[in-house]
Amino acid sequence: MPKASLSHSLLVSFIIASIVVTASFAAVRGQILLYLIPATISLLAIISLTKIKTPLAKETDFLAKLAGIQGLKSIQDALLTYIGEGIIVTDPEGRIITINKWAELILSTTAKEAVGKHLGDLVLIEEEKGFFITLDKLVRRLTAFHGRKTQAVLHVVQEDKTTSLALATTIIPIIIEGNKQAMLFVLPDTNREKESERVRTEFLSVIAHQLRSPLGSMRWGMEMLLSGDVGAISKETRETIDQMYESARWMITLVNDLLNVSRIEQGRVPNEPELIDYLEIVKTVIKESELDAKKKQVTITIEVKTDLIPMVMLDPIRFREVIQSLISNAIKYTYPQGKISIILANDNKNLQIMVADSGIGIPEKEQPKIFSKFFRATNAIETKAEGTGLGLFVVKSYIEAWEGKIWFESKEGKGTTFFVQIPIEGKMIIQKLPQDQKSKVTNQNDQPRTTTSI
Amino acid sequence: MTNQEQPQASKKLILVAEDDQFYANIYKVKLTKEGYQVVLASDGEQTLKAARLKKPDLILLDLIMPVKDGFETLKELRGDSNLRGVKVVVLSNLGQDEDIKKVRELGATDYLVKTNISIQKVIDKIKEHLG
Repeated sequence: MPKASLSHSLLVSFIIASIVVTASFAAVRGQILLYLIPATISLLAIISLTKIKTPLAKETDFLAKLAGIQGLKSIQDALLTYIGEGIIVTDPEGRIITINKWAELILSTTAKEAVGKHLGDLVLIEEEKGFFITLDKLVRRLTAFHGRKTQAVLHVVQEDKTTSLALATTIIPIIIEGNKQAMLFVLPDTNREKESERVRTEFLSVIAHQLRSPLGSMRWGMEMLLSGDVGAISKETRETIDQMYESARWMITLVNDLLNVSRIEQGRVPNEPELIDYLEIVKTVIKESELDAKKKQVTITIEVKTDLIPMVMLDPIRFREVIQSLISNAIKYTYPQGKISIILANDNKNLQIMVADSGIGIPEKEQPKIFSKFFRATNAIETKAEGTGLGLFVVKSYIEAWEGKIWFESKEGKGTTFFVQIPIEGKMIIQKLPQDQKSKVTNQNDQPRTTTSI
Repeated sequence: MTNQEQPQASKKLILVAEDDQFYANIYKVKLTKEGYQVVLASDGEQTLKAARLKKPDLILLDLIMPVKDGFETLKELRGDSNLRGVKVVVLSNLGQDEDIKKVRELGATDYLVKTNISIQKVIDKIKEHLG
Protein backbone atom coordinates (compact mmCIF):
# COMPACT_ATOMS: atom_id res chain seq x y z
CA MET A 1 0.00 0.00 0.00
CA PRO A 2 1.49 3.40 -0.95
CA LYS A 3 2.60 5.67 1.77
CA ALA A 4 -0.17 8.10 2.63
CA SER A 5 0.31 11.84 2.68
CA LEU A 6 -1.43 14.25 5.06
CA SER A 7 -4.38 14.95 2.81
CA HIS A 8 -4.64 11.26 2.19
CA SER A 9 -4.91 10.61 5.92
CA LEU A 10 -7.50 13.37 6.29
CA LEU A 11 -9.56 11.83 3.51
CA VAL A 12 -9.39 8.38 5.13
CA SER A 13 -10.36 9.85 8.49
CA PHE A 14 -13.29 11.62 6.92
CA ILE A 15 -14.52 8.44 5.24
CA ILE A 16 -14.20 6.40 8.47
CA ALA A 17 -16.07 9.14 10.32
CA SER A 18 -18.91 9.12 7.78
CA ILE A 19 -19.18 5.33 7.97
CA VAL A 20 -19.34 5.47 11.76
CA VAL A 21 -21.90 8.26 11.74
CA THR A 22 -24.16 6.64 9.15
CA ALA A 23 -23.86 3.21 10.83
CA SER A 24 -24.77 4.73 14.18
CA PHE A 25 -27.70 6.47 12.59
CA ALA A 26 -28.93 3.21 11.14
CA ALA A 27 -28.48 1.49 14.52
CA VAL A 28 -30.44 4.22 16.28
CA ARG A 29 -33.25 3.98 13.73
CA GLY A 30 -33.16 0.24 13.80
CA GLN A 31 -33.76 -0.08 10.07
CA ILE A 32 -31.73 -2.65 8.14
CA LEU A 33 -32.01 -0.73 4.90
CA LEU A 34 -30.30 2.27 6.46
CA TYR A 35 -27.17 0.09 6.88
CA LEU A 36 -26.87 0.23 3.13
CA ILE A 37 -25.53 3.78 3.40
CA PRO A 38 -22.39 3.03 5.41
CA ALA A 39 -21.99 -0.16 3.44
CA THR A 40 -21.96 1.79 0.18
CA ILE A 41 -19.60 4.40 1.56
CA SER A 42 -17.24 1.64 2.73
CA LEU A 43 -17.36 -0.12 -0.61
CA LEU A 44 -16.74 3.08 -2.51
CA ALA A 45 -13.94 4.03 -0.12
CA ILE A 46 -12.20 0.73 -0.60
CA ILE A 47 -12.46 0.92 -4.36
CA SER A 48 -11.25 4.50 -4.71
CA LEU A 49 -8.56 4.34 -2.04
CA THR A 50 -6.91 1.47 -3.72
CA LYS A 51 -7.05 3.42 -6.94
CA ILE A 52 -6.25 6.90 -5.71
CA LYS A 53 -2.54 7.38 -5.87
CA THR A 54 -0.41 10.14 -4.58
CA PRO A 55 1.55 12.07 -7.19
CA LEU A 56 4.67 10.25 -6.11
CA ALA A 57 2.96 6.94 -6.53
CA LYS A 58 1.78 7.93 -9.97
CA GLU A 59 5.30 8.68 -11.07
CA THR A 60 6.69 5.49 -9.64
CA ASP A 61 4.14 3.47 -11.50
CA PHE A 62 4.81 5.27 -14.76
CA LEU A 63 8.51 4.68 -14.43
CA ALA A 64 7.85 1.07 -13.67
CA LYS A 65 5.99 0.80 -16.95
CA LEU A 66 8.70 2.69 -18.74
CA ALA A 67 11.38 0.45 -17.41
CA GLY A 68 9.43 -2.36 -18.80
CA ILE A 69 10.77 -3.80 -21.94
CA GLN A 70 7.55 -2.99 -23.73
CA GLY A 71 7.93 0.69 -23.03
CA LEU A 72 11.52 0.85 -24.13
CA LYS A 73 10.75 -0.91 -27.32
CA SER A 74 7.94 1.53 -28.13
CA ILE A 75 10.28 4.45 -27.67
CA GLN A 76 12.97 2.78 -29.73
CA ASP A 77 10.54 2.08 -32.52
CA ALA A 78 9.32 5.65 -32.51
CA LEU A 79 12.88 6.96 -32.56
CA LEU A 80 13.96 4.73 -35.40
CA THR A 81 10.93 5.47 -37.51
CA TYR A 82 10.84 9.20 -37.15
CA ILE A 83 14.48 10.12 -36.88
CA GLY A 84 15.50 11.83 -40.08
CA GLU A 85 18.45 9.60 -40.80
CA GLY A 86 19.02 6.04 -41.88
CA ILE A 87 19.97 3.64 -39.10
CA ILE A 88 21.41 0.19 -39.66
CA VAL A 89 22.75 -2.07 -36.96
CA THR A 90 24.80 -5.11 -37.90
CA ASP A 91 25.69 -8.08 -35.72
CA PRO A 92 29.28 -9.19 -35.08
CA GLU A 93 29.13 -11.16 -38.33
CA GLY A 94 28.11 -8.12 -40.36
CA ARG A 95 24.53 -9.18 -40.86
CA ILE A 96 21.78 -6.60 -40.55
CA ILE A 97 19.72 -6.90 -37.38
CA THR A 98 18.00 -3.55 -37.44
CA ILE A 99 17.17 -1.22 -40.25
CA ASN A 100 14.88 1.78 -39.98
CA LYS A 101 12.44 3.22 -42.47
CA TRP A 102 14.86 5.81 -43.85
CA ALA A 103 17.60 3.27 -44.40
CA GLU A 104 15.10 1.04 -46.17
CA LEU A 105 14.29 3.89 -48.55
CA ILE A 106 17.92 4.85 -49.11
CA LEU A 107 18.92 1.25 -49.83
CA SER A 108 15.76 0.57 -51.85
CA THR A 109 14.91 -2.44 -49.75
CA THR A 110 12.57 -3.49 -46.96
CA ALA A 111 13.32 -4.62 -43.42
CA LYS A 112 11.98 -8.01 -44.38
CA GLU A 113 14.48 -8.37 -47.21
CA ALA A 114 17.39 -6.73 -45.48
CA VAL A 115 17.41 -8.25 -42.00
CA GLY A 116 19.78 -11.20 -41.98
CA LYS A 117 21.58 -10.05 -45.11
CA HIS A 118 25.26 -9.18 -44.95
CA LEU A 119 25.60 -5.42 -45.25
CA GLY A 120 28.55 -5.89 -47.56
CA ASP A 121 26.14 -7.32 -50.12
CA LEU A 122 24.19 -4.09 -50.24
CA VAL A 123 26.84 -1.40 -50.10
CA LEU A 124 30.46 -0.68 -50.92
CA ILE A 125 32.49 0.95 -48.19
CA GLU A 126 35.00 3.63 -49.14
CA GLU A 127 37.09 4.25 -46.03
CA GLU A 128 39.29 6.96 -47.44
CA LYS A 129 39.28 8.73 -50.75
CA GLY A 130 39.73 5.98 -53.30
CA PHE A 131 40.28 3.15 -50.85
CA PHE A 132 37.52 0.62 -50.58
CA ILE A 133 37.31 -1.85 -47.71
CA THR A 134 35.19 -4.89 -46.92
CA LEU A 135 32.82 -4.81 -43.96
CA ASP A 136 34.75 -7.56 -42.20
CA LYS A 137 37.97 -5.63 -42.50
CA LEU A 138 36.24 -2.54 -41.20
CA VAL A 139 34.91 -4.44 -38.21
CA ARG A 140 38.35 -5.79 -37.39
CA ARG A 141 39.87 -2.34 -37.89
CA LEU A 142 37.44 -0.81 -35.41
CA THR A 143 37.70 -3.48 -32.70
CA ALA A 144 38.31 -1.95 -29.28
CA PHE A 145 36.97 1.37 -30.43
CA HIS A 146 33.69 0.94 -28.62
CA GLY A 147 31.62 4.08 -28.77
CA ARG A 148 34.13 5.93 -30.93
CA LYS A 149 32.67 7.01 -34.20
CA THR A 150 34.37 6.97 -37.55
CA GLN A 151 33.40 8.21 -41.02
CA ALA A 152 33.26 6.40 -44.31
CA VAL A 153 31.45 6.79 -47.60
CA LEU A 154 28.95 4.08 -48.33
CA HIS A 155 28.16 3.53 -51.99
CA VAL A 156 24.77 2.16 -52.86
CA VAL A 157 24.74 0.83 -56.39
CA GLN A 158 21.59 2.03 -58.14
CA GLU A 159 19.22 0.02 -60.25
CA ASP A 160 20.92 0.90 -63.50
CA LYS A 161 24.04 -0.77 -62.10
CA THR A 162 26.29 1.97 -63.46
CA THR A 163 25.71 4.77 -61.00
CA SER A 164 25.94 4.73 -57.26
CA LEU A 165 24.67 6.91 -54.48
CA ALA A 166 27.49 8.07 -52.22
CA LEU A 167 26.56 8.58 -48.59
CA ALA A 168 28.79 10.13 -45.94
CA THR A 169 28.14 7.67 -43.13
CA THR A 170 28.99 7.70 -39.45
CA ILE A 171 29.96 4.31 -38.09
CA ILE A 172 29.97 3.48 -34.39
CA PRO A 173 31.17 0.12 -33.09
CA ILE A 174 29.38 -1.20 -30.02
CA ILE A 175 30.99 -3.90 -27.96
CA ILE A 176 28.42 -6.48 -27.01
CA GLU A 177 30.59 -8.90 -25.14
CA GLY A 178 34.22 -9.75 -25.15
CA ASN A 179 35.51 -8.80 -28.56
CA LYS A 180 32.25 -9.24 -30.37
CA GLN A 181 30.93 -6.00 -31.65
CA ALA A 182 27.85 -4.74 -33.35
CA MET A 183 28.16 -1.79 -35.71
CA LEU A 184 25.81 1.14 -35.88
CA PHE A 185 25.64 2.89 -39.23
CA VAL A 186 24.08 6.33 -39.43
CA LEU A 187 23.24 7.24 -43.02
CA PRO A 188 22.56 10.86 -43.93
CA ASP A 189 19.15 12.14 -44.89
CA THR A 190 19.47 12.01 -48.68
CA ASN A 191 16.69 14.50 -49.24
CA ARG A 192 18.60 17.02 -47.22
CA GLU A 193 21.78 16.03 -49.07
CA LYS A 194 20.12 16.37 -52.45
CA GLU A 195 18.70 19.72 -51.48
CA SER A 196 22.05 21.06 -50.31
CA GLU A 197 23.67 19.67 -53.42
CA ARG A 198 21.10 21.48 -55.53
CA VAL A 199 21.62 24.72 -53.63
CA ARG A 200 25.36 24.38 -53.98
CA THR A 201 25.12 23.79 -57.72
CA GLU A 202 22.84 26.77 -58.19
CA PHE A 203 25.17 28.93 -56.12
CA LEU A 204 28.15 27.87 -58.24
CA SER A 205 26.20 28.62 -61.37
CA VAL A 206 25.23 32.11 -60.26
CA ILE A 207 28.77 32.97 -59.17
CA ALA A 208 30.27 31.63 -62.36
CA HIS A 209 27.89 33.72 -64.44
CA GLN A 210 28.68 36.83 -62.47
CA LEU A 211 32.40 36.27 -62.91
CA ARG A 212 32.26 36.11 -66.68
CA SER A 213 31.71 39.79 -67.38
CA PRO A 214 34.59 41.18 -65.35
CA LEU A 215 36.85 38.39 -66.58
CA GLY A 216 35.90 39.19 -70.16
CA SER A 217 36.72 42.85 -69.65
CA MET A 218 40.06 41.99 -68.09
CA ARG A 219 40.96 39.71 -70.93
CA TRP A 220 40.23 42.21 -73.67
CA GLY A 221 41.73 45.06 -71.68
CA MET A 222 45.00 43.18 -71.46
CA GLU A 223 44.86 42.25 -75.12
CA MET A 224 44.51 45.94 -75.96
CA LEU A 225 47.50 46.78 -73.78
CA LEU A 226 49.61 44.01 -75.28
CA SER A 227 48.73 44.97 -78.84
CA GLY A 228 50.06 48.47 -78.25
CA ASP A 229 46.85 50.04 -79.54
CA VAL A 230 46.39 52.13 -76.39
CA GLY A 231 50.02 53.22 -76.23
CA ALA A 232 53.48 51.73 -76.48
CA ILE A 233 54.61 49.57 -73.57
CA SER A 234 58.03 48.61 -72.32
CA LYS A 235 59.38 45.08 -72.31
CA GLU A 236 58.96 44.81 -68.54
CA THR A 237 55.37 46.02 -68.76
CA ARG A 238 54.72 43.49 -71.48
CA GLU A 239 56.11 40.65 -69.38
CA THR A 240 53.99 41.64 -66.42
CA ILE A 241 50.85 41.91 -68.47
CA ASP A 242 51.59 38.58 -70.16
CA GLN A 243 51.65 36.95 -66.74
CA MET A 244 48.34 38.57 -65.79
CA TYR A 245 46.84 37.58 -69.11
CA GLU A 246 47.63 33.91 -68.56
CA SER A 247 45.96 34.06 -65.16
CA ALA A 248 42.88 35.70 -66.60
CA ARG A 249 42.66 33.04 -69.32
CA TRP A 250 42.95 30.34 -66.70
CA MET A 251 40.20 31.89 -64.60
CA ILE A 252 37.93 32.03 -67.62
CA THR A 253 38.53 28.32 -68.25
CA LEU A 254 37.71 27.56 -64.62
CA VAL A 255 34.50 29.55 -64.78
CA ASN A 256 33.45 27.84 -68.00
CA ASP A 257 34.24 24.44 -66.54
CA LEU A 258 32.21 25.24 -63.42
CA LEU A 259 29.28 26.41 -65.51
CA ASN A 260 29.44 23.24 -67.58
CA VAL A 261 29.57 21.09 -64.50
CA SER A 262 26.66 22.82 -62.79
CA ARG A 263 24.59 22.48 -65.92
CA ILE A 264 25.39 18.78 -66.07
CA GLU A 265 24.61 18.34 -62.38
CA GLN A 266 21.26 20.00 -62.89
CA GLY A 267 20.56 17.43 -65.54
CA ARG A 268 20.83 19.96 -68.33
CA VAL A 269 23.48 18.35 -70.52
CA PRO A 270 23.45 20.48 -73.66
CA ASN A 271 23.01 18.41 -76.81
CA GLU A 272 22.12 19.98 -80.14
CA PRO A 273 22.99 17.46 -82.88
CA GLU A 274 23.70 18.55 -86.43
CA LEU A 275 25.18 16.87 -89.41
CA ILE A 276 28.88 17.44 -88.87
CA ASP A 277 32.12 16.65 -90.63
CA TYR A 278 33.75 15.30 -87.51
CA LEU A 279 37.07 14.57 -89.19
CA GLU A 280 37.31 18.26 -90.03
CA ILE A 281 36.69 19.15 -86.40
CA VAL A 282 39.38 16.74 -85.20
CA LYS A 283 41.86 18.13 -87.71
CA THR A 284 41.06 21.70 -86.66
CA VAL A 285 41.60 20.89 -83.01
CA ILE A 286 44.93 19.24 -83.80
CA LYS A 287 46.00 22.31 -85.76
CA GLU A 288 45.06 24.58 -82.87
CA SER A 289 47.02 22.38 -80.49
CA GLU A 290 50.17 22.44 -82.61
CA LEU A 291 51.64 25.35 -80.72
CA ASP A 292 51.40 23.65 -77.35
CA ALA A 293 52.64 20.37 -78.78
CA LYS A 294 55.63 22.10 -80.35
CA LYS A 295 56.62 23.63 -77.03
CA LYS A 296 57.18 20.10 -75.71
CA GLN A 297 58.40 18.74 -79.03
CA VAL A 298 55.51 16.31 -78.99
CA THR A 299 54.29 14.96 -82.31
CA ILE A 300 50.64 14.34 -83.04
CA THR A 301 49.67 11.95 -85.79
CA ILE A 302 46.25 11.17 -87.08
CA GLU A 303 45.23 7.98 -88.77
CA VAL A 304 41.97 7.50 -90.53
CA LYS A 305 40.65 4.06 -91.37
CA THR A 306 39.41 3.63 -94.90
CA ASP A 307 35.82 4.24 -95.92
CA LEU A 308 35.22 6.48 -93.00
CA ILE A 309 31.67 7.75 -92.98
CA PRO A 310 32.07 11.47 -93.66
CA MET A 311 29.25 13.00 -91.66
CA VAL A 312 27.28 12.12 -88.57
CA MET A 313 24.57 13.72 -86.45
CA LEU A 314 26.35 15.04 -83.40
CA ASP A 315 26.48 18.22 -81.38
CA PRO A 316 29.40 20.07 -83.00
CA ILE A 317 30.24 22.25 -80.00
CA ARG A 318 30.30 19.40 -77.51
CA PHE A 319 32.10 17.05 -79.89
CA ARG A 320 34.80 19.65 -80.35
CA GLU A 321 35.06 20.06 -76.57
CA VAL A 322 35.50 16.31 -76.13
CA ILE A 323 38.28 16.15 -78.72
CA GLN A 324 39.94 19.28 -77.33
CA SER A 325 39.86 17.86 -73.82
CA LEU A 326 41.37 14.52 -74.80
CA ILE A 327 44.08 16.02 -76.98
CA SER A 328 45.02 18.70 -74.50
CA ASN A 329 45.31 16.12 -71.73
CA ALA A 330 47.47 13.98 -73.98
CA ILE A 331 49.80 16.89 -74.67
CA LYS A 332 49.86 18.02 -71.07
CA TYR A 333 50.85 14.68 -69.65
CA THR A 334 53.16 13.38 -72.35
CA TYR A 335 56.90 13.48 -71.81
CA PRO A 336 58.85 15.89 -74.01
CA GLN A 337 59.55 14.46 -77.45
CA GLY A 338 56.72 12.06 -76.90
CA LYS A 339 54.13 10.88 -79.40
CA ILE A 340 50.38 11.20 -79.55
CA SER A 341 48.39 9.22 -82.07
CA ILE A 342 44.77 9.67 -82.91
CA ILE A 343 42.86 7.03 -84.79
CA LEU A 344 39.40 7.42 -86.24
CA ALA A 345 37.34 4.52 -87.45
CA ASN A 346 33.76 3.44 -87.76
CA ASP A 347 31.60 0.49 -88.48
CA ASN A 348 27.90 0.53 -89.23
CA LYS A 349 27.04 0.92 -85.61
CA ASN A 350 29.64 3.13 -84.00
CA LEU A 351 32.12 5.90 -84.49
CA GLN A 352 35.39 4.97 -82.79
CA ILE A 353 38.05 7.39 -81.66
CA MET A 354 41.31 6.50 -80.01
CA VAL A 355 43.72 9.00 -78.45
CA ALA A 356 46.98 7.39 -77.37
CA ASP A 357 49.84 9.18 -75.66
CA SER A 358 53.25 8.08 -74.44
CA GLY A 359 53.03 10.01 -71.20
CA ILE A 360 52.95 9.66 -67.46
CA GLY A 361 50.02 7.26 -67.41
CA ILE A 362 47.53 6.83 -64.59
CA PRO A 363 48.48 4.90 -61.43
CA GLU A 364 46.41 1.73 -61.14
CA LYS A 365 45.01 2.57 -57.71
CA GLU A 366 43.67 5.87 -58.97
CA GLN A 367 42.18 4.63 -62.21
CA PRO A 368 38.63 4.07 -60.86
CA LYS A 369 38.37 7.72 -59.91
CA ILE A 370 39.59 9.22 -63.13
CA PHE A 371 36.19 10.38 -64.35
CA SER A 372 35.15 11.85 -61.00
CA LYS A 373 34.59 15.52 -60.47
CA PHE A 374 37.64 17.45 -59.27
CA PHE A 375 39.79 14.35 -59.23
CA ARG A 376 43.40 14.67 -60.36
CA ALA A 377 45.83 11.79 -60.18
CA THR A 378 48.78 12.33 -57.86
CA ASN A 379 51.32 12.06 -60.66
CA ALA A 380 49.34 14.59 -62.67
CA ILE A 381 49.42 17.07 -59.80
CA GLU A 382 53.15 16.51 -59.46
CA THR A 383 53.76 17.66 -63.03
CA LYS A 384 52.64 21.13 -61.87
CA ALA A 385 50.51 21.40 -65.00
CA GLU A 386 47.28 23.24 -64.30
CA GLY A 387 44.05 21.32 -64.11
CA THR A 388 40.63 21.55 -62.59
CA GLY A 389 39.89 17.85 -62.44
CA LEU A 390 36.66 18.58 -64.26
CA GLY A 391 37.69 17.84 -67.84
CA LEU A 392 37.05 14.11 -67.94
CA PHE A 393 33.91 14.40 -65.84
CA VAL A 394 32.45 16.76 -68.43
CA VAL A 395 33.70 14.65 -71.36
CA LYS A 396 32.14 11.50 -69.92
CA SER A 397 28.82 13.29 -69.31
CA TYR A 398 28.67 14.47 -72.91
CA ILE A 399 29.56 11.07 -74.34
CA GLU A 400 26.98 9.38 -72.18
CA ALA A 401 24.37 11.89 -73.31
CA TRP A 402 25.11 10.58 -76.81
CA GLU A 403 24.65 7.05 -75.46
CA GLY A 404 28.30 6.40 -76.12
CA LYS A 405 31.09 4.97 -74.00
CA ILE A 406 34.50 6.14 -72.95
CA TRP A 407 37.19 4.00 -71.36
CA PHE A 408 40.96 3.83 -71.21
CA GLU A 409 44.01 1.65 -70.80
CA SER A 410 46.95 3.04 -68.96
CA LYS A 411 50.25 2.13 -67.45
CA GLU A 412 52.08 4.48 -65.13
CA GLY A 413 55.18 5.86 -66.79
CA LYS A 414 54.29 4.36 -70.15
CA GLY A 415 51.20 6.18 -71.39
CA THR A 416 47.45 6.24 -71.64
CA THR A 417 45.04 5.44 -74.44
CA PHE A 418 41.50 6.71 -74.35
CA PHE A 419 38.81 4.95 -76.34
CA VAL A 420 35.57 6.64 -77.33
CA GLN A 421 32.67 4.87 -78.95
CA ILE A 422 29.63 6.77 -80.16
CA PRO A 423 26.60 5.05 -81.68
CA ILE A 424 25.79 6.43 -85.10
CA GLU A 425 23.32 3.93 -86.48
CA GLY A 426 20.68 5.85 -88.35
CA LYS A 427 22.51 9.09 -87.69
CA MET A 428 24.92 9.29 -90.57
CA ILE A 429 25.12 10.00 -94.27
CA ILE A 430 27.43 8.58 -96.88
CA GLN A 431 28.13 11.61 -98.98
CA LYS A 432 29.72 14.91 -98.09
CA LEU A 433 27.37 17.89 -98.27
CA PRO A 434 28.36 20.82 -100.50
CA GLN A 435 30.08 23.66 -98.61
CA ASP A 436 27.21 26.16 -98.50
CA GLN A 437 24.84 23.76 -96.84
CA LYS A 438 27.08 23.35 -93.85
CA SER A 439 26.07 25.25 -90.75
CA LYS A 440 27.93 28.53 -90.36
CA VAL A 441 26.73 29.84 -87.04
CA THR A 442 28.91 28.15 -84.48
CA ASN A 443 29.95 29.16 -81.05
CA GLN A 444 33.61 29.76 -81.68
CA ASN A 445 35.67 29.12 -78.62
CA ASP A 446 39.40 29.52 -78.63
CA GLN A 447 39.85 28.95 -74.94
CA PRO A 448 42.80 26.65 -74.46
CA ARG A 449 41.84 23.20 -73.23
CA THR A 450 45.38 22.75 -72.01
CA THR A 451 43.95 23.76 -68.72
CA THR A 452 41.55 20.88 -68.28
CA SER A 453 42.99 17.68 -67.04
CA ILE A 454 42.82 14.08 -66.04
CA MET B 1 38.96 36.45 -105.96
CA THR B 2 41.06 39.37 -107.12
CA ASN B 3 42.69 41.78 -104.73
CA GLN B 4 41.50 45.26 -105.50
CA GLU B 5 42.36 48.48 -103.76
CA GLN B 6 39.29 50.02 -102.19
CA PRO B 7 38.83 53.75 -102.81
CA GLN B 8 38.10 55.90 -99.73
CA ALA B 9 34.41 56.31 -100.54
CA SER B 10 33.65 52.65 -100.59
CA LYS B 11 35.19 51.76 -97.26
CA LYS B 12 32.93 49.21 -95.65
CA LEU B 13 30.68 50.52 -92.89
CA ILE B 14 30.27 48.71 -89.60
CA LEU B 15 27.54 49.66 -87.13
CA VAL B 16 28.53 48.77 -83.56
CA ALA B 17 25.60 48.29 -81.16
CA GLU B 18 27.15 48.23 -77.69
CA ASP B 19 26.15 50.06 -74.53
CA ASP B 20 29.40 49.41 -72.64
CA GLN B 21 31.80 52.26 -73.46
CA PHE B 22 34.83 50.10 -72.73
CA TYR B 23 33.92 47.58 -75.42
CA ALA B 24 32.56 50.17 -77.84
CA ASN B 25 35.90 51.94 -77.73
CA ILE B 26 37.81 48.72 -78.36
CA TYR B 27 35.72 47.98 -81.45
CA LYS B 28 36.13 51.52 -82.74
CA VAL B 29 39.91 51.52 -82.33
CA LYS B 30 40.47 48.08 -83.80
CA LEU B 31 38.02 48.29 -86.69
CA THR B 32 39.13 51.76 -87.72
CA LYS B 33 42.69 50.45 -87.73
CA GLU B 34 41.59 47.72 -90.13
CA GLY B 35 40.30 50.38 -92.48
CA TYR B 36 36.60 50.23 -91.78
CA GLN B 37 34.22 53.08 -91.13
CA VAL B 38 32.66 52.72 -87.70
CA VAL B 39 29.37 54.08 -86.34
CA LEU B 40 28.38 53.56 -82.71
CA ALA B 41 24.92 53.06 -81.20
CA SER B 42 24.34 52.50 -77.51
CA ASP B 43 20.86 50.99 -77.42
CA GLY B 44 18.43 49.07 -79.60
CA GLU B 45 16.43 52.05 -80.78
CA GLN B 46 19.54 53.97 -81.79
CA THR B 47 20.78 50.88 -83.58
CA LEU B 48 17.65 50.59 -85.69
CA LYS B 49 17.65 54.30 -86.52
CA ALA B 50 21.33 54.20 -87.52
CA ALA B 51 20.84 51.02 -89.53
CA ARG B 52 17.97 52.50 -91.53
CA LEU B 53 19.79 55.74 -92.09
CA LYS B 54 23.30 54.57 -92.85
CA LYS B 55 22.71 51.13 -94.37
CA PRO B 56 25.85 49.45 -92.86
CA ASP B 57 27.55 46.44 -94.40
CA LEU B 58 27.77 44.70 -91.07
CA ILE B 59 26.25 45.20 -87.62
CA LEU B 60 28.12 44.09 -84.52
CA LEU B 61 25.30 43.48 -82.09
CA ASP B 62 25.45 43.16 -78.31
CA LEU B 63 22.52 41.31 -76.77
CA ILE B 64 22.16 43.10 -73.45
CA MET B 65 21.33 46.73 -74.17
CA PRO B 66 18.93 49.25 -72.64
CA VAL B 67 15.68 50.47 -74.23
CA LYS B 68 15.59 47.58 -76.67
CA ASP B 69 17.75 44.50 -76.29
CA GLY B 70 19.71 42.68 -78.97
CA PHE B 71 17.08 40.00 -79.54
CA GLU B 72 14.31 42.53 -80.22
CA THR B 73 16.61 44.63 -82.36
CA LEU B 74 17.66 41.64 -84.43
CA LYS B 75 14.05 40.67 -84.94
CA GLU B 76 13.18 44.13 -86.22
CA LEU B 77 16.27 44.28 -88.39
CA ARG B 78 15.34 41.07 -90.11
CA GLY B 79 11.75 42.20 -90.40
CA ASP B 80 12.83 45.24 -92.37
CA SER B 81 13.02 44.40 -96.07
CA ASN B 82 15.63 47.07 -96.68
CA LEU B 83 17.98 45.60 -94.14
CA ARG B 84 17.64 41.89 -94.76
CA GLY B 85 20.95 41.60 -96.55
CA VAL B 86 22.97 43.20 -93.75
CA LYS B 87 25.34 40.85 -91.99
CA VAL B 88 24.67 40.72 -88.27
CA VAL B 89 27.34 39.35 -85.96
CA VAL B 90 26.04 38.92 -82.43
CA LEU B 91 28.70 39.50 -79.82
CA SER B 92 27.70 38.78 -76.26
CA ASN B 93 28.75 37.42 -72.93
CA LEU B 94 25.85 35.05 -72.72
CA GLY B 95 27.09 31.63 -73.66
CA GLN B 96 23.97 29.59 -73.15
CA ASP B 97 22.73 27.26 -75.86
CA GLU B 98 19.24 28.69 -75.61
CA ASP B 99 20.55 32.14 -76.51
CA ILE B 100 22.62 30.89 -79.44
CA LYS B 101 19.64 28.97 -80.77
CA LYS B 102 17.31 31.94 -80.41
CA VAL B 103 19.74 34.23 -82.15
CA ARG B 104 20.20 31.77 -84.99
CA GLU B 105 16.48 31.44 -85.45
CA LEU B 106 16.16 35.21 -85.58
CA GLY B 107 18.56 35.23 -88.50
CA ALA B 108 21.96 36.24 -87.17
CA THR B 109 24.96 35.64 -89.38
CA ASP B 110 27.22 34.59 -86.51
CA TYR B 111 27.41 34.42 -82.71
CA LEU B 112 30.56 35.10 -80.73
CA VAL B 113 31.06 34.90 -76.96
CA LYS B 114 33.26 37.78 -75.78
CA THR B 115 34.79 35.99 -72.82
CA ASN B 116 35.88 32.98 -74.83
CA ILE B 117 37.41 34.72 -77.80
CA SER B 118 40.26 37.11 -78.42
CA ILE B 119 39.75 40.57 -79.92
CA GLN B 120 41.83 39.58 -82.91
CA LYS B 121 39.61 36.58 -83.57
CA VAL B 122 36.57 38.88 -83.59
CA ILE B 123 38.23 41.13 -86.13
CA ASP B 124 39.21 38.13 -88.24
CA LYS B 125 35.63 36.85 -88.22
CA ILE B 126 34.28 40.24 -89.25
CA LYS B 127 36.77 40.38 -92.09
CA GLU B 128 35.68 36.91 -93.12
CA HIS B 129 32.03 37.87 -93.21
CA LEU B 130 32.66 41.04 -95.12
CA GLY B 131 34.63 39.12 -97.71
